[in-house]
Amino acid sequence: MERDTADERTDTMDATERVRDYICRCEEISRADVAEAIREGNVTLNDVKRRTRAGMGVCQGIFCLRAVGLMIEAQTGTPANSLEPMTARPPARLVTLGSLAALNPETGP
Amino acid sequence: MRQVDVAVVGGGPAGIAAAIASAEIGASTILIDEHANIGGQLRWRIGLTLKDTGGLDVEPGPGLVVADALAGRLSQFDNLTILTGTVAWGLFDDNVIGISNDSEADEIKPDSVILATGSTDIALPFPGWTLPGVMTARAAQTFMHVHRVLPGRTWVILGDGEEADELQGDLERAGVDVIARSANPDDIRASGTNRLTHVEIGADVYEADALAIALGRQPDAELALHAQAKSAFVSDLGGFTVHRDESGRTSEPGVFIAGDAAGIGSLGEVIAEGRLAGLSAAGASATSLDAARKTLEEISSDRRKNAIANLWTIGTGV
Repeated sequence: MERDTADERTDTMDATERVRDYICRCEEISRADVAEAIREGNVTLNDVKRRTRAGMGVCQGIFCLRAVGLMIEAQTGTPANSLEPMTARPPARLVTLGSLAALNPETGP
Repeated sequence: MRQVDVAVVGGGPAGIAAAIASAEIGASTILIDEHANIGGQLRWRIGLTLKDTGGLDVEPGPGLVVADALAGRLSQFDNLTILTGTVAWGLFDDNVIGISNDSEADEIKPDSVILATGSTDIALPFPGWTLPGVMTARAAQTFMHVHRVLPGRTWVILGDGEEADELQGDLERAGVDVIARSANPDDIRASGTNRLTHVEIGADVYEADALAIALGRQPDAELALHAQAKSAFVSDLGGFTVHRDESGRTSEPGVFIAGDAAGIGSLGEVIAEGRLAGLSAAGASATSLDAARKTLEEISSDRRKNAIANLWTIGTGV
């Protein structure tokens, strides 16, 4: 899939729009943030996640993973479908600290 | 910590089929679902009609009717526990599952776990996609069919596949206007102050209060990745897909995956797969397994069969 580079895309936006052009809506990481991280040499999904926090939020990356992959493809030439998924870590859903604190530490996960 | 023979995560068509199959042959079984009512996509994809029952003993018919019938079937098993309103938030060593509802957490220690966690809508970001009024097709369907709320009057749809057609049908039946459709996420922009008021597609500007992202669905296999099951990107199955055989066995012992979570499929396909995974996980006889395999074979499209057969030959991420 052909996609504009972040630079071409953001040229036509005003400053506010540019900042709010989120790739990762959970952590409020903009297209420009991700593009900058890739330019710095973060060229895997996990690299970008660690550098920017994209994919570390409530949805755990299921919404931004493709977009980040396509940006890596556009900027580096590495096909997005050859990238490994971001490392998945618990919790997969929202859990209250209170309910976890009540677990028995001897038998808990 | 609860001990059980088989735990099924996800109470959609695949998970229900798996739980029934497991309980039928006497395995102690737990079915976990995060929603208030089991049924999964049968409850928000109101246009779905069950034609192929995938070996499940239920009358074909509209999805919602089938969901209620299946809920009735499930309640007949003494060896089956259903936990609704409960999330499975982690899959740990020895297949221990962390679960939680609003007030408390617990762990389940199953001999086998079947992940039937379904799908998530594919979203590709574009300028303005986080404005209120912009939502995925699933969100629009959940608003309308589960919560009985019409989230917009004048709609634009992003997408040109089956999901977009399905949503357009739902919206038109609800009596609202779909004024434009675009297939290209690189050529769309949403704008408005505090909420969506305008959608630009190329040089055209539309006044709209709702924009649905209907680019298709992708497997939601996060728990399998907790267990470090191998996966690869397979376009024909919707995205990152866990390596598994036709019975749903992943690379990790005792971890099965079935239904849309294992690759987006038709209703008949996901039910037949769920049933086969349930029988396999519960240790059914070779005769029952063969019968379930035959049913799945008959229902599966060649495209799905090929994609699954190739999964074990694709290296992780290659």
